[in-house]
Amino acid sequence: MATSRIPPLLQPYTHLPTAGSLTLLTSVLGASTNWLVIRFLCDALRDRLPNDPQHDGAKPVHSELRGRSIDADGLESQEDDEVGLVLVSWMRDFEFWRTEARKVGGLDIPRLVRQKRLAFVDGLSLLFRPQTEPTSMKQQATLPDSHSSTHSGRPISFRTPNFPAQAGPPDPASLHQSFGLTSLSLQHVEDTISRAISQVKAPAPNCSLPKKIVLVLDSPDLLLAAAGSSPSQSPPHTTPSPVVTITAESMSAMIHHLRTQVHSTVISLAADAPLLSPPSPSLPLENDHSAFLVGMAHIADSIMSLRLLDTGFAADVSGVVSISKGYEEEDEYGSEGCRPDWERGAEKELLYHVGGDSVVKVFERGGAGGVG
Amino acid sequence: MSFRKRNIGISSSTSSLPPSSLSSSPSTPSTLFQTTPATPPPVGIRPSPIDGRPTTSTGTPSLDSILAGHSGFALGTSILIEEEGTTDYAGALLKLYAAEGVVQGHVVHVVGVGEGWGRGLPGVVEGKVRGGGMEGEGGRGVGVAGEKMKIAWRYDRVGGGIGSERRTGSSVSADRTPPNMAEVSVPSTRQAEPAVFCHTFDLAKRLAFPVGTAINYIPIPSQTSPPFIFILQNITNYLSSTPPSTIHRLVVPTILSPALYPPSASHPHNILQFLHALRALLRSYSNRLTALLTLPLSLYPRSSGLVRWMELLSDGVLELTPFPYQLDSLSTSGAATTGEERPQGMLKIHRLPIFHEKGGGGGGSGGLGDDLAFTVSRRKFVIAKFSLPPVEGDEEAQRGAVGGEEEGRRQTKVDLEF
Repeated sequence: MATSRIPPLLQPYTHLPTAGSLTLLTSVLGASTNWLVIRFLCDALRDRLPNDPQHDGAKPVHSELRGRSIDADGLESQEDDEVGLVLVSWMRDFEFWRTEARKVGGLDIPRLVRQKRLAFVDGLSLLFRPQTEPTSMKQQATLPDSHSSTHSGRPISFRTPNFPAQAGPPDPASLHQSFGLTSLSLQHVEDTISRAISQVKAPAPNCSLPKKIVLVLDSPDLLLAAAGSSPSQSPPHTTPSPVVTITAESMSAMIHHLRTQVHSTVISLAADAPLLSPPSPSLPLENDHSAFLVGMAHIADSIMSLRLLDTGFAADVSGVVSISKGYEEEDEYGSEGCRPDWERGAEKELLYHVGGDSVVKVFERGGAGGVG
Repeated sequence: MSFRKRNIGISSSTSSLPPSSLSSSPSTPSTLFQTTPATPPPVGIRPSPIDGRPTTSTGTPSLDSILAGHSGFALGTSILIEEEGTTDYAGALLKLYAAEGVVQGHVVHVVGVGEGWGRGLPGVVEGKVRGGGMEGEGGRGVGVAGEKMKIAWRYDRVGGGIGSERRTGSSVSADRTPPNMAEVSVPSTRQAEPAVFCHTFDLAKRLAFPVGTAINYIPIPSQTSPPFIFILQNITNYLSSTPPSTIHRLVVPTILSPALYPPSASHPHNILQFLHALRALLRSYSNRLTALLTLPLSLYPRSSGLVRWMELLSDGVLELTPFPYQLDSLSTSGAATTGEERPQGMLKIHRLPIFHEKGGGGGGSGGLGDDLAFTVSRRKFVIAKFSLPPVEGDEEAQRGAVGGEEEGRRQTKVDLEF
């Protein structure tokens, strides 16, 4: 059911990656990786439900043996281990992932969160929301008032000493028991994600082994861009939070620390041309981004990069996904030459199309659009 | 008889909501309507024909129609309009967007510019005036409205392409009383007639502000404090202090322009944190807020990483590229008589609100692959497919060539005489 939503050509790649691996997804403006991230979510969380009697009772001993043997190959992981997932999103809210995952893979993310098989770390909602300051609030708080004159346009100021939080929507963190990032500090980010990992990692009641954790980082490069590696020019007393300096090195170090805690990691980054090959007087923003991205690409075990068609627009093609493998994987596959192409997931370039109903078709270049 | 009864039922529905076929979509934004069955949906809001999420109008029907089939500006999203050169065509779009909000009774927030900007908002074209057939468009609209069968009414917004958006906008407003009066009045009048989604504006007119509406002008504070935090707090306070049914529109003209913003605003950590916070705000008020921003590309080229991050943080990115010179300067009289206006520039779509977030790239709906051009006349802003009629072009070229020859002869004559 859920697997059928993953295009067959992509299945070898979205499959639960090997232990310790890093998968890098890159996007450009107009070709976002969201649909691909959703496929990773679906594959990691698909029918390994602990309360699935059919699955549990089918062939426990055999599957364990099979799992071990495959693990010895170092290629695939145990099929039947519990898999947990930690999704950290800096650009998209919980609602987006919930809606898309349900539409695409039939995943009930709130339920998975309750079962502690998935933890969502919200890097969007609270990261830069202005801190409410009671002193300035009195002056700034205004309400549109029907009595205000029409031509002046300026509403009458309205005094409310303590108003913001209650009338707004419920705190997103408490709404779906997620973790919220509230600061740019990398230490805070790492601590929060670590807490989420340890929450999901706790073994399920009917299973003694700790779960395998897949960590999905959606656009961590935002931290790099928004923090700015140069110290702020503005007066320090006005900034709400101390300006945090984040460099490509510190980001890489944080991701390295996080990778040691999880089974495998999936990172999606922006790889637009202006961010990679900036004009000659390049700014710290571009330098840091390209340094970070290139560094990640070097240590990644596989890279799936999305881009638009080079030849312009086509009605039935959204873009190109080119899949390349890291250095070590090449050697490994060299010794595994007997394996068929589709199983080992060779390097290739495929076309994809995302329909309005979130159905994704993936097909070979030149192949019929309906194949995938 | 039964057909007639259904007619009555549809046309007297309390809102612009289509029948249950659309609202049956399971996506969550429609919960706005499901959770509050007693109160009608806010004015100027209608569900997207694709997934039922609430959308509002940008004030420009042809812009609504290119937004990936949603035929409206999905609430909780933002659009960044970039413009090359020194012209201010994007400003016209902003004013239409703000004026539509004022007419619909939405709360309009304008950042950085004073009340003079608000006084320049375009006025609503009233139905009776429009009926005369200005530039042939109104007349066509009335005709279509007369012919249109009621059963088609519920589908006419579905997949409204480039060609059909005018009909939707003008035909509805053509048989109405002055809309700016009706929209702010009590809900009982709304039940009597279908609500207008997008009004027809006249850029040459001035908007008469309905009683009780006020634009919230958010000044940009001077150098002493980072400007964006103040702006965000202001909007947040408004959003949290107004009732949940009010719709808000945020208008940010020429963001980062040095005429309005202090130099520190363009530091990545200031502007990108602002846009990220705005994104968070849009998502958390996903049923109430939209934002339209414009960016002068001459100051901040697209080849820079900063602009690319600003684009990545916006939901929609459109680029206006005005033609370097007036194409129709040679034949202004001809254009006026034929009613065919020459486009002022090209419009490029780099990203569309919901569509690209899901991953849709180049292909797909809504004229994404087409060459789009925009035309700003004195009265309206139209986005249409760009095409050069070959026959006309040839004639002009010939005429130009002949004219050039004649001129050349004359010049040589003069030369000789001299």
